[in-house]
Amino acid sequence: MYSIIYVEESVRDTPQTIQILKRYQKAAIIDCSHYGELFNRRKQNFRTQKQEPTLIIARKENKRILPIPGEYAIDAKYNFYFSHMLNCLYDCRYCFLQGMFRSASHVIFVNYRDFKIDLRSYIENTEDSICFYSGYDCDSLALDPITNFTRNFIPLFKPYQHAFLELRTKSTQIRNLLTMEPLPNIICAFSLSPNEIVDKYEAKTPSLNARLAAINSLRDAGWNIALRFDPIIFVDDFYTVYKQFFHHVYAALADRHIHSITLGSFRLPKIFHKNMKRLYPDEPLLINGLSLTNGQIAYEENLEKKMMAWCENTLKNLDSVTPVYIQQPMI
Amino acid sequence: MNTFIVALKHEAYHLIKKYRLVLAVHQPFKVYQTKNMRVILSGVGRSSSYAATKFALEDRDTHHGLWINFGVAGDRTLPIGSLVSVSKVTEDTSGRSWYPSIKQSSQSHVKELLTCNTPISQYPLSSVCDMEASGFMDAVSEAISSEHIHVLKLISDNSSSGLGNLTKILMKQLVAENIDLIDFYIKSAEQNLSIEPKNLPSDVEKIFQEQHFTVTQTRQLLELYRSFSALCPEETWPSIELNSRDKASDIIAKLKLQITQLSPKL
Repeated sequence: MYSIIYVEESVRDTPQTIQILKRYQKAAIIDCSHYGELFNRRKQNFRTQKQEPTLIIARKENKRILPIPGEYAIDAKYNFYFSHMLNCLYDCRYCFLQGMFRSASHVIFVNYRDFKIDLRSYIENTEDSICFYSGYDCDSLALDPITNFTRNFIPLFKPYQHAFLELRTKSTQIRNLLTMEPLPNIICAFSLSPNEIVDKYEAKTPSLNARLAAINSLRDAGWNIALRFDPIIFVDDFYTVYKQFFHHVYAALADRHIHSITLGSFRLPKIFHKNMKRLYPDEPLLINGLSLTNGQIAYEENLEKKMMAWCENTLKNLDSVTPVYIQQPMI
Repeated sequence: MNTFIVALKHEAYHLIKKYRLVLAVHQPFKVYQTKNMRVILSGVGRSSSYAATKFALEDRDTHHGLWINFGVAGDRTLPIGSLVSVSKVTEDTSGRSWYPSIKQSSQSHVKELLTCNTPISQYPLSSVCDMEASGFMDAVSEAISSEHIHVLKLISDNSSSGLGNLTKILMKQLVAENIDLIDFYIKSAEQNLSIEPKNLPSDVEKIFQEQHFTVTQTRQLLELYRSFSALCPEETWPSIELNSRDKASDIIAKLKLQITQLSPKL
């Protein structure tokens, strides 16, 4: 998959790096002093790089755990996110990463030990509920066979009943999870969209049915499952498309227990939207039909409220038990 | 348009011949070019390469093409005539590094490069060495998107056949022998370029002829046109009324307004 891999000198000889490089023996391996030399350089084109992303293996020096705004939280008292990876295997046209990062290179931070020290310190510092989100700057599971993220991080949460980890994903890479003991404080949160949107805007992602099959396998193995309907996109024939979609999801899940549902309409910070529009001036999704509200580019306020209320009602009619959270921008 | 920054005429000779480039500029640097390609002769050394690249960058119409520093280089072990796509350029005096784009192929090598101030006979252990690449990278990296930048070197000397054996004839001969490989490299590198702005329909080109558009305004106009095409794929141009007093900024504002009023089909 990767033909060019940059490796920070500081992690060149770590077991994690060696293990990753073993998988890509034909790749050109190039030393670099700091991933920022490549990832943050000014003149780059995300869209061009996305055609054939390079991999950067690096160390995350500091600011490994970051707080998220309260609006993004579900029900824990304290909420943080961390990123063992930057960027994503998939190519979703609405994804804010395209507007946030200059580079489409995939960065894997392999100093898991440092992350784990930080996580323990945060967890042990409180007795209140604390939740960590791992799928903000990347898809939590898409590269799990390479990163072994789940095997490395999930066991850490076992002794701490007040600490939760959300894995946010569109991926079907669940083999590692299926070989592990399910923990009640791990939330496998799947982002789902109608097939029409998967086909049109979620390039390289597994189909809706493949994701639903992965959800069922995990749930049957005892893992907590959550559904993330975010972003909700106002497509032509919106109500029919989403009604059929919600019914399809619930039919596929049968009576399996769902931990939580979140809903969020398509929105982007103004600067990210500007960057994305520059990259994709020919993408109707980004061109019109959006307006600036509270610093965010989103659907016109009334339309957004109507969409969210309709989605919430439709979901509650299908499932009156699972809590539904409306997501506000976290950026 | 693709731009080659090359130190010496002997290194550039077969590029000029193959692509039928003609001498278009004499000073401050010789520039050989056609519509799609140009070669700028920089002279030897980091500073010359830097200056020639800066000079070449003044023509902003060329920024969407490839930018390649091409020339001969030394290496401890690679055979004479090996083609190298350089993955990292380090300047020996300052220790600064840059990362050009690379293309992998079974017929070329990927290696790091060290730019030295003077010719050397003790080759570094793991790097190719030259005298120009860091100057090129220093100048070009600030202006050109990284995917467009390449450093391509032909090995002309190594630990068994040192610099003493390097002649003008050998330089020409090495390029001649590899010209098809170089051409193949250019073509495959071009495939990874940024998506070029869509061209305006021919009947709209006259807008450009009647009004002066700056480079930024031209880019804005093309982006707006691409947006319009995405929203109205069956129409060639929005129905905006233009008059002779409209400046470029007025045309862009009218086009923007028109596009804002269209609804996307999602």
